[in-house]
Amino acid sequence: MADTILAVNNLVKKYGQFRAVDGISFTVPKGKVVGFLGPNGAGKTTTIQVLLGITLANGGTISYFGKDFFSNRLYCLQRINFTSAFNTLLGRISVNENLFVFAGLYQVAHAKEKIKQLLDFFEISDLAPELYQNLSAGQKTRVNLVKSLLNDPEMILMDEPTASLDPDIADKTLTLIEDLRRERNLTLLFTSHNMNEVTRICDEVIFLDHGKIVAQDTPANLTKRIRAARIRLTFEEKKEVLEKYLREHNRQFTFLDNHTVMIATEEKFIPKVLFGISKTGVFLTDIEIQKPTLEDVFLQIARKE
Amino acid sequence: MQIKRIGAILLQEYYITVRSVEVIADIFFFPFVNVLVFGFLSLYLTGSNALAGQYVLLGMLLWQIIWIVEYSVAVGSLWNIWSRNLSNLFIAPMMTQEFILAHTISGICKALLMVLLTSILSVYIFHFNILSVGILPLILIFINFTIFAFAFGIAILGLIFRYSTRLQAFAWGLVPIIQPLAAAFYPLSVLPAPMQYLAYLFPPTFTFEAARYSLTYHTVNWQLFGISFGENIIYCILCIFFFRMMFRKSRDTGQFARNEG
Repeated sequence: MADTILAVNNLVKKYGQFRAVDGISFTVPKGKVVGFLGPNGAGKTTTIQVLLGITLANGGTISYFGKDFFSNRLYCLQRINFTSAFNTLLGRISVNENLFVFAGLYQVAHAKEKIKQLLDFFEISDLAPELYQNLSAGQKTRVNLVKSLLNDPEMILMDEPTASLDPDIADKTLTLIEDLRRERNLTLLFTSHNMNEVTRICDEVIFLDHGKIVAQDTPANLTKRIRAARIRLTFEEKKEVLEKYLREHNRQFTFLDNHTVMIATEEKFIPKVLFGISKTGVFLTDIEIQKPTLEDVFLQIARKE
Repeated sequence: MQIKRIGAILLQEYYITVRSVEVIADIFFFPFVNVLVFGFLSLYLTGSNALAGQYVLLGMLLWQIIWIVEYSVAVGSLWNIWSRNLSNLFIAPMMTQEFILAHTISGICKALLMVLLTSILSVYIFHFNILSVGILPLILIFINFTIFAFAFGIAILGLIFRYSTRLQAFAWGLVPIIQPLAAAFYPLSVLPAPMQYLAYLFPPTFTFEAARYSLTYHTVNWQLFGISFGENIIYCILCIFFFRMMFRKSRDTGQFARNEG
């Protein structure tokens, strides 16, 4: 188990009779990015809080680097870190001052050089003397990332790190995270509501619902669970011919207008459908295949379809 | 406990103190104003009873120890809650004891500084030298008040962690309630008999009495200091236990994480 950074076994968190986290078990291997997904109230944030020790569990075990978290709290926390869009640093003091405080808490050697090196990496050296409260959301995110890297963590827990960022800054932040992961072989536990981000960055996804793990796999394998796909065809004429063909072959379809049809089918039948239509003589001007995405999986789970 | 981590929290305390007008006002400005007001009052009283005037000024000079140490212990965390930084601190490899000790040290340093500055002020403006109480009594007074303020501060901190910032006003608004009961500015005998019994429950009552005794007779009243110290130890044990209970409950109910939300 040397390659397992985090192992969670039968973790339970109850608030009165409500089981916010209901006996979940999972592992996070070294160097992997594991995504935590689920609808609001699924237990993601509570799980992260329990994994960080700021909320107490009612049952189960958590171990980092093979050591029990509850009895080796300081040892584990020294080797991990956390960043979130919802936690900020002290607004009234400067970026540099904030980072010096955390460098002291993590007992970082050569703190001044370390802070400078990280600020340079994130291209925010000019922000060092600025008051944290005067920074933009994107700048704060970068400073938070600097803070989360001060102790050279082997694992970072990220709770929606790109929330409240505009798409451009969110993309840049994700690129930085990808670079960090590549350069440092970082292990990440990542929560987000943005399915594209999760698909892009995560090696494995854990779906939570009502405190339980309802699915756990790679993003590609999860989307394969949904067999349904859709084909959107644009054609010039012969609507009747196309309609007749689809009816004869028992296809589910909807004409969006006189030149567009949406066909629902299983992913494996897409070539067969397209080949059949091409033989009818209908002239297709555009073909758009809509394969299932992680969002479809999310919606399916959230709606319990 | 690690000195470097305690130093990090002290560094944060220093940054907050020098950057926050509110802290400067609460810890430095208002105590100065209070000493001035009570100093002039003591000058006025000197006409009829010199000792009474000195009691008032002595009470105000010493009250700052309780006020500043309690304020530092209880309000230091609030800055982090208001900035949504508390979780960041507590997911760092830091012991809760280190966090509280750092705030207590910060409070002691500020209290020493303020007592020193306001004492110099009172010498020059009001011709009252706090050293006339005696060095040893002053040390005993400082220790007793610091223990009490620490105990009171962590009890308030526990309540804030447990019940959120709804109770934040307790951090600066509760300790002055003790002031009249603890007979800070007058002998305990001034209080009506039933209130005197209530006053005995508070360790500062005995410390203030001991301070006035030392000022009057230039000797140490070990009995009063002993009772005060004994009560302080009991308070300290109870408040540490209470804080631990509140802190645990706060993390158990999820309130600790929600405090920033």
